[in-house]
Amino acid sequence: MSAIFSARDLCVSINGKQILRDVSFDLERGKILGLVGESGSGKSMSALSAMQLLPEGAIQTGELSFEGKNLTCANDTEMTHIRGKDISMVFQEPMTALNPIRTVGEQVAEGLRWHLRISRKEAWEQTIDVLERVGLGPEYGLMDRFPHQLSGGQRQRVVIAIAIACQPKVLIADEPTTALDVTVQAQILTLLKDIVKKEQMAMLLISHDLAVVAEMADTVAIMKDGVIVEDGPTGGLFDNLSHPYSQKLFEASNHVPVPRQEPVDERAQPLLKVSNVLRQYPLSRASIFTRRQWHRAVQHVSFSVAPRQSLGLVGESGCGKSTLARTILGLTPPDGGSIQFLGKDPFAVSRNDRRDLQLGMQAVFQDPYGSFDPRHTVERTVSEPLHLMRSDLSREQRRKRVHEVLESVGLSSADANKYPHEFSGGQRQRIAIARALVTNPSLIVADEPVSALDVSIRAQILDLFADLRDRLGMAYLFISHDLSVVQAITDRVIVMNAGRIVEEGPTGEVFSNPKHPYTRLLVSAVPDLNEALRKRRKKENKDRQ
Amino acid sequence: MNQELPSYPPPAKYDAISIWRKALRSRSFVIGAVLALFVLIAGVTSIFWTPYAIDVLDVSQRLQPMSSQYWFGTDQYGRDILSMLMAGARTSIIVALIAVGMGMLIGVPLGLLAAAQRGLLEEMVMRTNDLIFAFPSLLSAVLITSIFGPGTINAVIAIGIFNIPVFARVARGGALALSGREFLLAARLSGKSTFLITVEHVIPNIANLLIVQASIQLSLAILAEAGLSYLGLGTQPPMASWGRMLYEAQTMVAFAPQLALYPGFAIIFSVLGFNLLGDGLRDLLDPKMRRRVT
Amino acid sequence: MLWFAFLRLIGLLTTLLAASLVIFVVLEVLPGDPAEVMLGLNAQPDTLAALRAELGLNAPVTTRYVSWILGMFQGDFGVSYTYSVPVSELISERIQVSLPLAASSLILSTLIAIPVGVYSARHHGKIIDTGIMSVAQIGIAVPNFWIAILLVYVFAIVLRILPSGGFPGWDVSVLGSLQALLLPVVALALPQASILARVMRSALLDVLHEDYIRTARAKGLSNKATLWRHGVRNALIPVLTILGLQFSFLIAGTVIIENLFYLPGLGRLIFQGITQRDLIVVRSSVMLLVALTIFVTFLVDIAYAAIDPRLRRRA
Repeated sequence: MSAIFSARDLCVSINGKQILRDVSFDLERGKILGLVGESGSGKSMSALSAMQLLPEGAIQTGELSFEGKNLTCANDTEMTHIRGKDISMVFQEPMTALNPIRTVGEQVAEGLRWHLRISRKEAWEQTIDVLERVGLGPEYGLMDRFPHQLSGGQRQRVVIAIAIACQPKVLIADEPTTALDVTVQAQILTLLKDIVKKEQMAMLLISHDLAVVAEMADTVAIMKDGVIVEDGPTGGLFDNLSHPYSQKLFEASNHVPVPRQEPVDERAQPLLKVSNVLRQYPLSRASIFTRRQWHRAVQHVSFSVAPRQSLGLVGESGCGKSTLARTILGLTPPDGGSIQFLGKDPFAVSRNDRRDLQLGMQAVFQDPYGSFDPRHTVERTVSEPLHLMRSDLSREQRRKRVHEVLESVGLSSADANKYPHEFSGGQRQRIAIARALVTNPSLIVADEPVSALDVSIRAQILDLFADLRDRLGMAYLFISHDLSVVQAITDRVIVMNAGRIVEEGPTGEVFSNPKHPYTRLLVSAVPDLNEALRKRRKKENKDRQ
Repeated sequence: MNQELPSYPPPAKYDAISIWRKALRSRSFVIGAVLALFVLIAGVTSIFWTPYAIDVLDVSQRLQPMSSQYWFGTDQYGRDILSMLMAGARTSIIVALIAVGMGMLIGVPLGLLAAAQRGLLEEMVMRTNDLIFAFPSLLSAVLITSIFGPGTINAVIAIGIFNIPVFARVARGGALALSGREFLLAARLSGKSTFLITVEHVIPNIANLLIVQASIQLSLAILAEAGLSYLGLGTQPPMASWGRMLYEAQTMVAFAPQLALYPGFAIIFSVLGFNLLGDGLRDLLDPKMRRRVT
Repeated sequence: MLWFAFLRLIGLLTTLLAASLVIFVVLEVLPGDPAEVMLGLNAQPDTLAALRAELGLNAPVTTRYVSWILGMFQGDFGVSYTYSVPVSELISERIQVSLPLAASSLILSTLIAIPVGVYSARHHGKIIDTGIMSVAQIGIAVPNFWIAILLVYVFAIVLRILPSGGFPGWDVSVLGSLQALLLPVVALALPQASILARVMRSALLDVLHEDYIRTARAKGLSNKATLWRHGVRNALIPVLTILGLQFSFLIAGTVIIENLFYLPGLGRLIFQGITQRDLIVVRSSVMLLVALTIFVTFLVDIAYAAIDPRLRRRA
């Protein structure tokens, strides 16, 4: 089968900076091409280039042919007849991709009316069909709803509906599930796969996630710094990766840090004991005549962390894990139940005792940009928790301590005088860990500490966590939506759903043999790279025969 | 990355040299700074020296044309226009600086307090703000100066009051925008009090916003002072003021229209200067402008 | 939506009440004895006593406040001390000048600003955009009373085609009245239009960076269709904010402009009332203008919710 859409030697540069270099690929009907790469590799720019929606000031050379037409020569008026009708695109952020002040129906119908020149009424009827095709039948009553009234998954379905409304021949999806929960991701991926098969579309799937691509794509192209370093049929390609970068990427995606050397004494006096904690928020009232409703973010949660133990807390967005983290950190008191850290309740102790508790528990957050005051040097940032022991430390001692922790997280003491913006995302997360270590705590609460990082950097940071665990005997409460991360680093795991703990146990056991239906759903929804590759290989072998 | 990652701009660069270089390349900033500085220098100079005394009326020298003796001529009372303009610059700058300073000194703490102590206090501060906003600014300035008598000090107070809610809003908005940032949580985990966090983290991080707003408010205050003086409620003779000069020129507009031009240009000059300065500063300091492309 | 409007309405009434208290305190309590203020320092004791009785000043403060408020609800604004006519008569007469003046300036400035702002945003970065924005930048810096003086000089003194001031009254000459309002309207509208055009442009440019604009383009919409269907309407939200704030500035501007053009409007009435120390007139007409401003803010809030569905459920 010949390609319906192909790129040949595509080069794009913006303001003199080369973004894409000699990119070539082919899309075939009913097939999915996966484009994988880390942030800044130019994969999104490839998508925009294929749509001819490059930002202003971009210079493009090479050839993009669609059904024999060269799109790089087409002017914008010609492109408006192709975009949305023959070639469509699905974006990453379903929240911002939809116009907040237009109804769902209007936004889907708009493309239909624009391309097919049909009446408002016809467009409306077709819109109902289109929404049904993406699994949003009339029973959801979404036509007159606004985007903010929809869930994340529904929004992404609407974005897909807009893209496939005119039955395009080529569909480009740029990280279509990255912003979604893992269970929703599985649904959306299945939907996309079905559409491609049923409507015989050619699809370009862009993702940073090798497992997603392996599961979805028939062929894969691996991209780095604007260049496709390697491509080929999925199964075969991953069997014989020849480029060092793709090998590194593959290894990082499968990376597991060294397992724990000394076993944890689970019968020891627990470091942290959470008993029956309740957190609730008042909902805004529908009217003053109705009773105030409460949203229970965390409902009667109990667990404990032993010294040197690494406990994982997994759950999807909105399950209450971040709310719980804040309560454990002593930032917001619980509405019921109690917390005991080092045998004391942080909300019921004297100022001095509270200081000791804070010294013993520090945190690492998700966002490598938001966790530092951009105006403070690394030294000032890292030494901030030493405020807790202000009277006991001299300036010199503080400085020495900062240099010590910077070195123990793999940075140098010369970095102390720099500002956060001078570091990469991975280095920033090291600084965040250094800040947590500076008081010599016994427990670190890590809230999605690697979620914002690229795969290869994620592997390095996980190694660092493992190293600190073994070297300093650190205990962790590791909060994440990403099961593979939790699996890699924790001894025990707690699964949370809708504010409750649904399952708890040793990590390996919970993941290999989940008992609760929700855990089972969660585990099965996670794309498994090796499993997907095994299937691919089998299929490719069968095709060859 | 299923957690909603707020799309913060990358941390800004804060070394003085790179900001300064950028500043010199920004047209708004350079023009604005030059104009504002010019007005400032004229005003400061007038404290020590003006070409002629502005409180001496000399009818024999009335309505002189432009000459090497009187650069901009004289008005109907024989006063040197250039000297009057310089003294007017002093009045404008002083009134604007004090009024805006007053707005900042009262408004910013109120706004920060409202952001830190959410709930009843915040509600009270914000409702008071709304109330002040409900009074058309110049109208209430007219009211205040008429009850307490016309004069520079009352004009300053009247204009200053309307700067309070503006700065309270900006400070509160800026602080609330920061409130989700994780470095504030980290500071709290370091045992720092709300006050300390406000001083160490919040104020430095909203300073940009406040500086930009201040330059805009300065230009508005200059306009307001001119308006009040034009109505005879601001600065009183013998002290000069651009608004007053316009008022006096108005009666002579049929015979000596140039008299109305100079103070008008002076007002436009200085207001334009502070506006451009504000625009330039916003381009330089507002992280929104540095949004990443990819 | 209705619930939202209802909550806003309650907010409006509270602000009105608070505003009336402020006005009452500033004018009646702070100066000490209003009768003394009105008559000046050299007043005879018996005239002072007579005025006090006439104004009801012998009653306690609270009674006076309540009767003022109740009176206003019944259309009784008191009797002007200097004009010796009911204030309500004065106001209804003067508002026939002020309302057309303010309304037409607002409309004129919007009519100029929105197309100019959109045009400028469409040609973002080009010379024409820079040119328009430079003119607007200067326009913001120009005081409206200075424009007014120049307009008078050009059109009334040099060209002699428009009156330099005064107002014949609608019943005397409609055309003459319109002519009398023309220059004031332009003088008020030009600086406002400059501000609004800049806001329109930058709001539109902000919106054009949003992801949903890219979605619209990916749908196949042309640049122009995207701009009008997804850009302008969304950009109107910040423009509305400024429009609401501008009304307040406009009211303030009318005080100066009406004085400059000798227009018998509310602004001039207040100004004269103040210089003649006629606190009865000042009190009620200031209250009226403040009420008007609050009401416009209320309308802007409602318009927000009409444009932006996300606001409807929030109170």
